[in-house]
Amino acid sequence: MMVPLAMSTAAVGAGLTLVGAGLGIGLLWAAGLQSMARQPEIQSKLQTAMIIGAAFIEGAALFALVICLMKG
Amino acid sequence: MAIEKQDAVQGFINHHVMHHAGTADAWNLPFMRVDALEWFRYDAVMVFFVVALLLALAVAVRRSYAEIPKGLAAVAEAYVVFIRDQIVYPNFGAACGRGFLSFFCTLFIFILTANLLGLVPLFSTATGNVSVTAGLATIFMLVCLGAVVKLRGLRGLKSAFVPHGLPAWLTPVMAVMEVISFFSRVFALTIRLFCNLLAGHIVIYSLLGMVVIFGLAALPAVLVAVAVYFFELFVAFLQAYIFTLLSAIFMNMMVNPEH
Repeated sequence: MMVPLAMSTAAVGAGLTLVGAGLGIGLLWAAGLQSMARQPEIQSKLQTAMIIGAAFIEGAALFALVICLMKG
Repeated sequence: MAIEKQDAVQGFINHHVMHHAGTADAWNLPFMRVDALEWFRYDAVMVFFVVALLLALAVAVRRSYAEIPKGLAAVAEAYVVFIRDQIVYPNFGAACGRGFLSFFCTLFIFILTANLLGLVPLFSTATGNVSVTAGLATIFMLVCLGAVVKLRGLRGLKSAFVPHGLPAWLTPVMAVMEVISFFSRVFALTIRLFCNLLAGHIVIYSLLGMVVIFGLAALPAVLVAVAVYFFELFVAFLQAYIFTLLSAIFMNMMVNPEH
Protein backbone atom coordinates (compact mmCIF):
# COMPACT_ATOMS: atom_id res chain seq x y z
CA MET A 1 0.00 0.00 0.00
CA MET A 2 1.37 3.36 -0.99
CA VAL A 3 1.45 5.54 2.12
CA PRO A 4 2.86 9.07 1.90
CA LEU A 5 6.62 9.09 1.70
CA ALA A 6 7.23 10.50 5.18
CA MET A 7 5.62 7.54 6.91
CA SER A 8 7.02 4.63 4.95
CA THR A 9 8.45 2.18 7.46
CA ALA A 10 10.47 0.44 4.81
CA ALA A 11 12.33 3.67 4.16
CA VAL A 12 12.99 4.12 7.89
CA GLY A 13 14.34 0.58 8.05
CA ALA A 14 16.59 1.22 5.10
CA GLY A 15 17.90 4.37 6.73
CA LEU A 16 18.72 2.52 9.94
CA THR A 17 20.50 -0.13 7.90
CA LEU A 18 22.59 2.60 6.34
CA VAL A 19 23.52 3.96 9.77
CA GLY A 20 24.80 0.55 10.85
CA ALA A 21 26.72 -0.08 7.66
CA GLY A 22 28.19 3.40 7.55
CA LEU A 23 29.38 3.19 11.15
CA GLY A 24 30.93 -0.22 10.57
CA ILE A 25 32.76 0.67 7.39
CA GLY A 26 33.81 4.04 8.77
CA LEU A 27 35.35 2.51 11.90
CA LEU A 28 37.07 -0.11 9.81
CA TRP A 29 38.65 2.39 7.45
CA ALA A 30 39.59 4.72 10.30
CA ALA A 31 41.58 1.94 11.96
CA GLY A 32 43.09 0.99 8.61
CA LEU A 33 44.15 4.55 7.81
CA GLN A 34 45.80 4.94 11.21
CA SER A 35 47.72 1.72 10.68
CA MET A 36 48.74 2.81 7.18
CA ALA A 37 50.05 6.06 8.63
CA ARG A 38 52.12 4.21 11.17
CA GLN A 39 53.56 1.65 8.74
CA PRO A 40 53.37 2.75 5.13
CA GLU A 41 55.18 -0.33 3.84
CA ILE A 42 52.26 -2.72 4.46
CA GLN A 43 49.82 -0.44 2.71
CA SER A 44 48.73 -2.90 0.03
CA LYS A 45 48.06 -5.72 2.50
CA LEU A 46 46.02 -3.38 4.64
CA GLN A 47 44.06 -2.19 1.65
CA THR A 48 43.16 -5.74 0.68
CA ALA A 49 42.05 -6.56 4.21
CA MET A 50 39.99 -3.40 4.42
CA ILE A 51 38.18 -4.09 1.19
CA ILE A 52 37.35 -7.62 2.36
CA GLY A 53 36.00 -6.29 5.64
CA ALA A 54 33.95 -3.67 3.84
CA ALA A 55 32.47 -6.39 1.63
CA PHE A 56 31.37 -8.38 4.68
CA ILE A 57 29.74 -5.38 6.30
CA GLU A 58 28.06 -4.38 3.07
CA GLY A 59 26.74 -7.92 2.64
CA ALA A 60 25.10 -7.77 6.06
CA ALA A 61 23.63 -4.36 5.29
CA LEU A 62 22.24 -5.67 2.03
CA PHE A 63 20.47 -8.56 3.82
CA ALA A 64 18.58 -5.98 5.84
CA LEU A 65 17.97 -3.88 2.74
CA VAL A 66 16.48 -6.86 0.90
CA ILE A 67 14.03 -7.39 3.77
CA CYS A 68 13.14 -3.69 3.72
CA LEU A 69 12.47 -3.86 0.01
CA MET A 70 10.44 -7.03 0.30
CA LYS A 71 8.24 -5.85 3.10
CA GLY A 72 7.58 -2.32 2.00
CA MET B 1 -0.82 15.14 -9.22
CA ALA B 2 2.64 14.49 -7.82
CA ILE B 3 1.36 11.39 -6.03
CA GLU B 4 0.13 9.92 -9.31
CA LYS B 5 3.49 10.53 -10.93
CA GLN B 6 5.22 9.02 -7.92
CA ASP B 7 2.98 5.99 -8.22
CA ALA B 8 3.83 5.78 -11.90
CA VAL B 9 7.54 5.85 -11.17
CA GLN B 10 7.14 3.32 -8.39
CA GLY B 11 5.14 1.10 -10.69
CA PHE B 12 7.77 1.44 -13.40
CA ILE B 13 10.56 0.52 -11.02
CA ASN B 14 8.57 -2.41 -9.67
CA HIS B 15 7.71 -3.65 -13.11
CA HIS B 16 11.20 -3.21 -14.48
CA VAL B 17 13.06 -4.64 -11.55
CA MET B 18 10.76 -7.27 -10.16
CA HIS B 19 9.50 -8.52 -13.48
CA HIS B 20 12.49 -8.10 -15.72
CA ALA B 21 14.78 -9.31 -12.99
CA GLY B 22 14.02 -12.89 -13.62
CA THR B 23 10.67 -13.57 -15.17
CA ALA B 24 10.78 -11.35 -18.22
CA ASP B 25 9.13 -13.15 -21.05
CA ALA B 26 10.39 -11.10 -23.97
CA TRP B 27 13.47 -9.27 -25.13
CA ASN B 28 12.53 -6.00 -26.76
CA LEU B 29 15.32 -5.18 -29.19
CA PRO B 30 14.99 -2.19 -31.55
CA PHE B 31 13.59 -3.99 -34.57
CA MET B 32 12.57 -7.32 -33.26
CA ARG B 33 11.14 -8.91 -30.21
CA VAL B 34 12.40 -12.23 -28.98
CA ASP B 35 9.84 -14.16 -27.00
CA ALA B 36 11.26 -16.36 -24.29
CA LEU B 37 10.16 -19.92 -23.75
CA GLU B 38 7.97 -20.81 -20.85
CA TRP B 39 10.83 -22.34 -18.91
CA PHE B 40 13.72 -20.20 -20.15
CA ARG B 41 13.47 -16.56 -19.19
CA TYR B 42 15.42 -13.51 -20.17
CA ASP B 43 18.22 -13.72 -17.64
CA ALA B 44 18.85 -17.30 -18.65
CA VAL B 45 19.29 -16.00 -22.21
CA MET B 46 21.80 -13.50 -20.83
CA VAL B 47 23.72 -16.26 -19.06
CA PHE B 48 24.02 -18.20 -22.28
CA PHE B 49 25.07 -15.05 -24.10
CA VAL B 50 27.84 -14.48 -21.57
CA VAL B 51 28.96 -18.10 -21.93
CA ALA B 52 28.99 -17.82 -25.74
CA LEU B 53 31.00 -14.59 -25.55
CA LEU B 54 33.56 -16.13 -23.22
CA LEU B 55 33.85 -19.23 -25.37
CA ALA B 56 34.48 -17.07 -28.44
CA LEU B 57 37.16 -15.16 -26.53
CA ALA B 58 38.75 -18.40 -25.38
CA VAL B 59 38.87 -19.76 -28.92
CA ALA B 60 40.42 -16.51 -30.13
CA VAL B 61 43.08 -16.64 -27.41
CA ARG B 62 43.83 -20.27 -28.13
CA ARG B 63 44.18 -19.62 -31.81
CA SER B 64 46.54 -16.68 -31.37
CA TYR B 65 48.73 -18.40 -28.83
CA ALA B 66 52.43 -18.40 -29.75
CA GLU B 67 55.69 -19.01 -27.91
CA ILE B 68 55.80 -15.40 -26.77
CA PRO B 69 52.19 -14.31 -26.48
CA LYS B 70 51.10 -11.03 -27.97
CA GLY B 71 47.82 -9.21 -28.04
CA LEU B 72 44.83 -11.08 -26.71
CA ALA B 73 46.87 -14.02 -25.45
CA ALA B 74 49.09 -11.65 -23.45
CA VAL B 75 46.02 -10.15 -21.81
CA ALA B 76 44.75 -13.63 -20.98
CA GLU B 77 48.10 -14.55 -19.47
CA ALA B 78 48.21 -11.37 -17.41
CA TYR B 79 44.72 -12.15 -16.17
CA VAL B 80 45.57 -15.71 -15.13
CA VAL B 81 48.75 -14.50 -13.41
CA PHE B 82 46.69 -11.91 -11.54
CA ILE B 83 44.23 -14.54 -10.29
CA ARG B 84 47.03 -16.93 -9.44
CA ASP B 85 49.25 -14.50 -7.54
CA GLN B 86 46.61 -12.40 -5.84
CA ILE B 87 43.83 -14.84 -5.06
CA VAL B 88 44.77 -18.51 -5.34
CA TYR B 89 48.40 -18.90 -4.23
CA PRO B 90 48.21 -16.58 -1.19
CA ASN B 91 45.37 -18.70 0.12
CA PHE B 92 46.15 -22.24 -0.98
CA GLY B 93 49.87 -22.33 -1.47
CA ALA B 94 51.56 -23.29 -4.71
CA ALA B 95 51.05 -27.05 -4.68
CA CYS B 96 47.44 -27.21 -3.64
CA GLY B 97 46.38 -24.11 -5.55
CA ARG B 98 47.38 -25.40 -8.97
CA GLY B 99 44.35 -27.63 -9.17
CA PHE B 100 41.92 -24.89 -8.21
CA LEU B 101 43.26 -22.19 -10.48
CA SER B 102 40.96 -22.86 -13.44
CA PHE B 103 37.86 -22.83 -11.25
CA PHE B 104 38.62 -19.40 -9.84
CA CYS B 105 39.63 -17.99 -13.19
CA THR B 106 36.32 -19.13 -14.64
CA LEU B 107 34.38 -17.73 -11.70
CA PHE B 108 35.99 -14.31 -11.91
CA ILE B 109 35.71 -13.84 -15.66
CA PHE B 110 32.12 -15.08 -15.73
CA ILE B 111 30.94 -12.75 -12.96
CA LEU B 112 32.89 -9.83 -14.38
CA THR B 113 31.50 -10.28 -17.89
CA ALA B 114 27.94 -10.72 -16.63
CA ASN B 115 28.24 -7.60 -14.46
CA LEU B 116 29.68 -5.50 -17.26
CA LEU B 117 27.14 -6.64 -19.84
CA GLY B 118 24.39 -5.47 -17.53
CA LEU B 119 25.62 -1.93 -18.06
CA VAL B 120 25.13 -2.09 -21.82
CA PRO B 121 21.75 -0.51 -22.72
CA LEU B 122 19.64 -3.31 -24.12
CA PHE B 123 20.96 -6.15 -21.99
CA SER B 124 20.02 -7.19 -18.50
CA THR B 125 22.37 -8.09 -15.70
CA ALA B 126 22.59 -11.84 -15.46
CA THR B 127 24.11 -11.67 -11.99
CA GLY B 128 21.40 -9.23 -10.94
CA ASN B 129 19.07 -12.17 -10.73
CA VAL B 130 19.08 -14.07 -7.48
CA SER B 131 18.68 -17.38 -9.29
CA VAL B 132 21.92 -16.87 -11.18
CA THR B 133 23.93 -15.89 -8.13
CA ALA B 134 22.35 -18.71 -6.14
CA GLY B 135 23.47 -21.05 -8.90
CA LEU B 136 27.01 -19.68 -8.72
CA ALA B 137 27.10 -20.09 -4.95
CA THR B 138 25.70 -23.62 -5.23
CA ILE B 139 28.43 -24.50 -7.70
CA PHE B 140 30.95 -23.09 -5.25
CA MET B 141 29.43 -25.17 -2.45
CA LEU B 142 29.54 -28.37 -4.52
CA VAL B 143 33.12 -27.73 -5.64
CA CYS B 144 34.08 -27.06 -2.01
CA LEU B 145 32.54 -30.29 -0.74
CA GLY B 146 33.90 -32.22 -3.71
CA ALA B 147 37.39 -30.87 -3.11
CA VAL B 148 37.25 -31.85 0.55
CA VAL B 149 36.09 -35.36 -0.33
CA LYS B 150 38.63 -35.76 -3.12
CA LEU B 151 41.62 -34.45 -1.22
CA ARG B 152 40.95 -35.99 2.15
CA GLY B 153 38.42 -38.73 1.55
CA LEU B 154 35.17 -39.02 3.40
CA ARG B 155 36.96 -38.55 6.72
CA GLY B 156 37.85 -35.12 5.39
CA LEU B 157 34.23 -34.06 5.75
CA LYS B 158 34.40 -34.90 9.40
CA SER B 159 37.65 -33.04 9.92
CA ALA B 160 36.39 -30.02 7.99
CA PHE B 161 33.24 -29.59 10.03
CA VAL B 162 34.22 -30.82 13.46
CA PRO B 163 36.89 -28.65 15.05
CA HIS B 164 39.77 -30.12 17.01
CA GLY B 165 41.08 -29.44 20.42
CA LEU B 166 37.81 -28.84 22.20
CA PRO B 167 36.34 -30.48 25.30
CA ALA B 168 34.09 -33.42 24.46
CA TRP B 169 30.86 -31.78 25.51
CA LEU B 170 31.47 -28.74 23.30
CA THR B 171 32.23 -30.53 20.04
CA PRO B 172 28.63 -31.32 18.90
CA VAL B 173 27.59 -27.72 19.43
CA MET B 174 30.58 -26.42 17.51
CA ALA B 175 29.98 -28.93 14.71
CA VAL B 176 26.41 -27.68 14.30
CA MET B 177 27.70 -24.12 14.30
CA GLU B 178 30.30 -24.93 11.67
CA VAL B 179 27.65 -26.44 9.39
CA ILE B 180 25.38 -23.43 9.91
CA SER B 181 28.22 -21.03 9.21
CA PHE B 182 29.07 -22.93 6.02
CA PHE B 183 25.55 -22.48 4.70
CA SER B 184 25.38 -18.89 5.83
CA ARG B 185 28.60 -18.13 3.95
CA VAL B 186 27.11 -19.58 0.77
CA PHE B 187 23.94 -17.56 1.33
CA ALA B 188 25.94 -14.40 1.98
CA LEU B 189 27.85 -14.87 -1.27
CA THR B 190 24.68 -15.03 -3.32
CA ILE B 191 22.95 -12.14 -1.58
CA ARG B 192 25.99 -9.88 -1.65
CA LEU B 193 26.53 -10.21 -5.40
CA PHE B 194 22.82 -10.05 -6.24
CA CYS B 195 22.07 -7.01 -4.07
CA ASN B 196 25.09 -5.01 -5.15
CA LEU B 197 24.24 -5.48 -8.79
CA LEU B 198 20.52 -4.93 -8.45
CA ALA B 199 20.78 -1.91 -6.17
CA GLY B 200 22.81 0.05 -8.70
CA HIS B 201 20.13 -0.46 -11.31
CA ILE B 202 17.34 0.52 -8.93
CA VAL B 203 19.16 3.73 -8.00
CA ILE B 204 19.58 4.66 -11.64
CA TYR B 205 15.92 3.93 -12.38
CA SER B 206 14.82 6.00 -9.39
CA LEU B 207 16.98 8.94 -10.38
CA LEU B 208 15.70 8.84 -13.92
CA GLY B 209 12.19 8.54 -12.56
CA MET B 210 12.68 11.96 -11.00
CA VAL B 211 12.49 13.32 -14.52
CA VAL B 212 9.03 11.84 -14.84
CA ILE B 213 7.90 13.51 -11.66
CA PHE B 214 9.61 16.87 -11.85
CA GLY B 215 10.28 17.45 -15.51
CA LEU B 216 13.10 19.73 -16.61
CA ALA B 217 14.03 20.72 -13.04
CA ALA B 218 15.37 17.22 -12.54
CA LEU B 219 18.42 17.71 -14.79
CA PRO B 220 20.91 17.40 -11.88
CA ALA B 221 19.34 14.01 -11.14
CA VAL B 222 20.36 12.84 -14.59
CA LEU B 223 23.94 13.95 -13.93
CA VAL B 224 23.89 12.10 -10.62
CA ALA B 225 22.58 9.07 -12.50
CA VAL B 226 25.60 9.26 -14.81
CA ALA B 227 27.88 9.39 -11.76
CA VAL B 228 26.11 6.37 -10.27
CA TYR B 229 26.62 4.60 -13.61
CA PHE B 230 30.38 5.05 -13.30
CA PHE B 231 30.25 3.92 -9.70
CA GLU B 232 28.38 0.84 -10.85
CA LEU B 233 31.23 0.15 -13.28
CA PHE B 234 33.62 0.11 -10.33
CA VAL B 235 31.21 -2.05 -8.31
CA ALA B 236 31.10 -4.58 -11.19
CA PHE B 237 34.85 -5.16 -10.93
CA LEU B 238 34.87 -5.02 -7.14
CA GLN B 239 32.07 -7.52 -6.65
CA ALA B 240 33.61 -10.01 -9.06
CA TYR B 241 36.88 -9.74 -7.16
CA ILE B 242 35.17 -10.03 -3.76
CA PHE B 243 33.16 -13.10 -4.79
CA THR B 244 36.27 -14.87 -6.09
CA LEU B 245 38.43 -13.86 -3.14
CA LEU B 246 35.88 -14.91 -0.54
CA SER B 247 35.31 -18.21 -2.37
CA ALA B 248 39.04 -18.84 -2.23
CA ILE B 249 39.23 -17.96 1.47
CA PHE B 250 36.23 -20.12 2.40
CA MET B 251 37.40 -23.04 0.30
CA ASN B 252 40.83 -22.81 1.88
CA MET B 253 39.26 -22.84 5.32
CA MET B 254 37.49 -26.07 4.46
CA VAL B 255 40.16 -27.88 2.48
CA ASN B 256 43.08 -27.01 4.75
CA PRO B 257 41.55 -26.61 8.18
CA GLU B 258 43.90 -24.83 10.51
CA HIS B 259 44.15 -26.69 13.75
